[in-house]
Amino acid sequence: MEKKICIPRVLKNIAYVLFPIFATILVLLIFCLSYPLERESIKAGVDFYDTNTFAEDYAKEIFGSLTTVDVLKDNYQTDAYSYYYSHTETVENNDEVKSINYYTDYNGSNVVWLVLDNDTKIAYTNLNYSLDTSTIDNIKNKIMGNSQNWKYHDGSIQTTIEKLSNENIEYIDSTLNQEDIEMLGNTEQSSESNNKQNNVIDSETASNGQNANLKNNYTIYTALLDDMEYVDNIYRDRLLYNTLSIVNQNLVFLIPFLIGLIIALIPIIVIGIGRTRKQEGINLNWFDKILIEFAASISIFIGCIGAVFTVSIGGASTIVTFTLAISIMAVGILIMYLACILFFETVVKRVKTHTFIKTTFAYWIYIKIKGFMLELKITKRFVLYFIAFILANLFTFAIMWSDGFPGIVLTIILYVIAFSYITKRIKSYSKIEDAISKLYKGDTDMRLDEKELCKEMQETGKQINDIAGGLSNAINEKLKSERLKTELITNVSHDIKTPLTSIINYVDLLKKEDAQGEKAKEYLDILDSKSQRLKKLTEDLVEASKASSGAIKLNIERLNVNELIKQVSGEFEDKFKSHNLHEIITFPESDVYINADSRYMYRVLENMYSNISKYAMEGTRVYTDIAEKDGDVIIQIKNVSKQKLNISADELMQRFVRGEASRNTEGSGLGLSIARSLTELQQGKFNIYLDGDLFKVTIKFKKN
Amino acid sequence: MYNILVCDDDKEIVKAIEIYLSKEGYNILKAYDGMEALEILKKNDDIQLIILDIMMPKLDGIETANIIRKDKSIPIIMLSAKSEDYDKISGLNNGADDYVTKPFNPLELIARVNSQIRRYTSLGSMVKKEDNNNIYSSGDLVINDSTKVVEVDGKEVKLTPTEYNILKFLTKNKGIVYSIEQIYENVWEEESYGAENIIAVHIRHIREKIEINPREPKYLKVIWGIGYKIEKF
Repeated sequence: MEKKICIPRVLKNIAYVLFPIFATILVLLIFCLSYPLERESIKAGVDFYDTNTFAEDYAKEIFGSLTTVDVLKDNYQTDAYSYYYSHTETVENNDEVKSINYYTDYNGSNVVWLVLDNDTKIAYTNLNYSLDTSTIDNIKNKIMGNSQNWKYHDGSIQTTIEKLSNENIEYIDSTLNQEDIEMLGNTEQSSESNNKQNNVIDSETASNGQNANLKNNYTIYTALLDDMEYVDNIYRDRLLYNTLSIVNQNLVFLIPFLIGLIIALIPIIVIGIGRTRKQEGINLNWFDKILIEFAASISIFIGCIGAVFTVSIGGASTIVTFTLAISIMAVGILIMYLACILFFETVVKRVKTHTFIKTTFAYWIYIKIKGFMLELKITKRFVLYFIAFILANLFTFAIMWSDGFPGIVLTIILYVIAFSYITKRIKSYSKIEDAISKLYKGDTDMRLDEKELCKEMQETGKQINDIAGGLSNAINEKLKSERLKTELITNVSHDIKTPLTSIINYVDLLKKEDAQGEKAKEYLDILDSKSQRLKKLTEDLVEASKASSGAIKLNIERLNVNELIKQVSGEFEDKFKSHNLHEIITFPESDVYINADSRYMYRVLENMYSNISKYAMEGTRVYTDIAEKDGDVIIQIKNVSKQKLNISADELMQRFVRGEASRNTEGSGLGLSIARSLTELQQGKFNIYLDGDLFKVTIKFKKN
Repeated sequence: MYNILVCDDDKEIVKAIEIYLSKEGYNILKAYDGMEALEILKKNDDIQLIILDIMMPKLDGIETANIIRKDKSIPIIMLSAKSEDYDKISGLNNGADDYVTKPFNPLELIARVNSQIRRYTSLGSMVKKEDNNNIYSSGDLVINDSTKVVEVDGKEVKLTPTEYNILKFLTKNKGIVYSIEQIYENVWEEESYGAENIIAVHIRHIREKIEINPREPKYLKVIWGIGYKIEKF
């Protein structure tokens, strides 16, 4: 098996590693760019030693040296402070200076200085005593040998630092803060806050005599060590300044580049999330299936552990070594980062599988409530809705009471919602009602659009559709089978007719032969009548099956019932006479009309009249009544049966059943059945009533 | 002596028809399928009528009639067990002059054969277009009001005076449907008093006299529930 490597997943893991690196670099770059230190100078590419920051820092060092000298002067004998060490050597130098006080500052400084007190002839320096610092000149040379130096002598300044020259010295004063001035307070008796220019270094004010002990009495040599040994303000500022300069001048292009990279990483991560080697699609684990709020809590908890590592343990650097603290902080940050990834991954997976909303607590509550509601019967549900409506209404009324307009708006909104809820259900109900009504009337092809119904009635709608579908299937099946039956009967009747033709013809021929005995003639008569009956039977059979299956094309016209009865009655006049039957017809006052097919209407009546001529008792009267009642035209034919009718009207109408026990008389027994089928095909009603020997047929049609 | 070609796949039926028609004085030629019938027609020019079954092997009656009709105008009577309206219409549309369903009444068949033969053989001389206003006709039904003679297919029919008047009225106005009342008022020339069906009885009698098959009338048509008319040809 070939091992499939899931590229998106590998890429995603790489991206996870690269992401924090890029992000950190980006943050640092942006931090550097926005750091408020000397921004104009950095942009202009000024050297650090020419910046105000350096001048300021350097000035502080100068003041610092003077302060130290003051402290040393006052406490030389007492040595009250323990944070410095001073060592005095007597030097025989030139003529004036008698001793050098070597001062050691444990904090360390990159600025070296020499202060000569012209009154006491004592020199102070922060250089250590050694062979090359054993004379004033040596010290002077050593100090002034550095590239950045500053000298004050006799009210004038000699310096390589432009900002601290005589011309620019005001600037220094203006940048000194109050604290620095106060530090000098014990040597400067008259320090007004606004009069900072009167400070020691100011040559002009110094000559005013305000600062007697510093005025002309000090000669100051200071310099910044070319190779800085200590991490002091100047060192830090120079480092920061140079770093910022590099960033500003050379690394700005990295920012859009990094932003682009980070943006590119996001889709790589998002695409890779959830992919596995094993299966297609998104792989969800248990963490992706729990509620999103719960997952968030777990992630936050893990993140908090990381934060504890970072802040509490890592931050307490006093109890551990620096390296260990950094390591623990890194672990803490890593844990926080992993917690973020954990949560981000599960969110992305949920969004990808469209389960984000479904796994929220709100959705869970919604589903529970919905399930509870749906399980309830519609009646109970409605009660709940109604109670909810009342409560909401009370609430809006309360708002209306206290607040007026918003309450009115809320009430109107509530009523609109309630109204639309009710309207929707009423609409659905009326649709269902229409559908059932249609179904009842026989429109089995009608279908409800379930989607148009409200949720509660959709199931009902579906059931109605199923019922309609079932009915229409059943009806179609029935029609189909009836058609097949008709076809079969028609085909069989064709096959019967051919031999029957020969039988009828040869019986007829035989009858015409002379050489026959009496018996043979009688037998031939029987053969003749039976073959004729067979013929009639085949014809009626086809017609009956066609009529009952509806396989007949009707040509509906407006017919005059009076005319029709007269015509039919005229047709049968001779037959009735020969059976000694007397017909009495009652016509309505005016002509009545029905909609029916002329030929089939005759077939119905023909069957009735021929039945009468066959089965009515001879010598009786036949009553035919045409009446109009409630918009219907009723044709009623009554006669007295020749033989006892010992079966029901329904049975009588069944095919092949006749009202007599023997079957000697002519006819197929299909007459009534055909008559009823044809009447019903023409939307009429056909009924038979039996009352003793009275045989009554009513045919009912809608009046036109 | 007229020659009639009888074509049916049932030999007994052909034989029976032969017996009936021979008695009427016709000479019968026999065929048992459509192909045979066409061959006989090819050989024999002197045939005045064809009786053709529909359901036959090799070539059925409809096809056969179609082929015959391409070059011959000999009358064809279709004889078939198929009795649906559709079958009759299809037969008549495909060249048949008449349609008789099986099982047939021998007398009816003979009458129809006679009618067709008369029409076919005396076609030229039959229509005696006497410039006489007293002659009314529809197809082969001719009423001569001067002599009070009614002829169908050239054969005289005896009618009672009432029947004659009704038939004359309908033939004069052939193609128009008249209700019982209208016929009464026009023939009796007095107002109808409604309840009588005497006209219907007369019509039935007329049909029995002038029609070959009164149940399926050719001339005097009944439109049930509306009235009666003489078909216009």
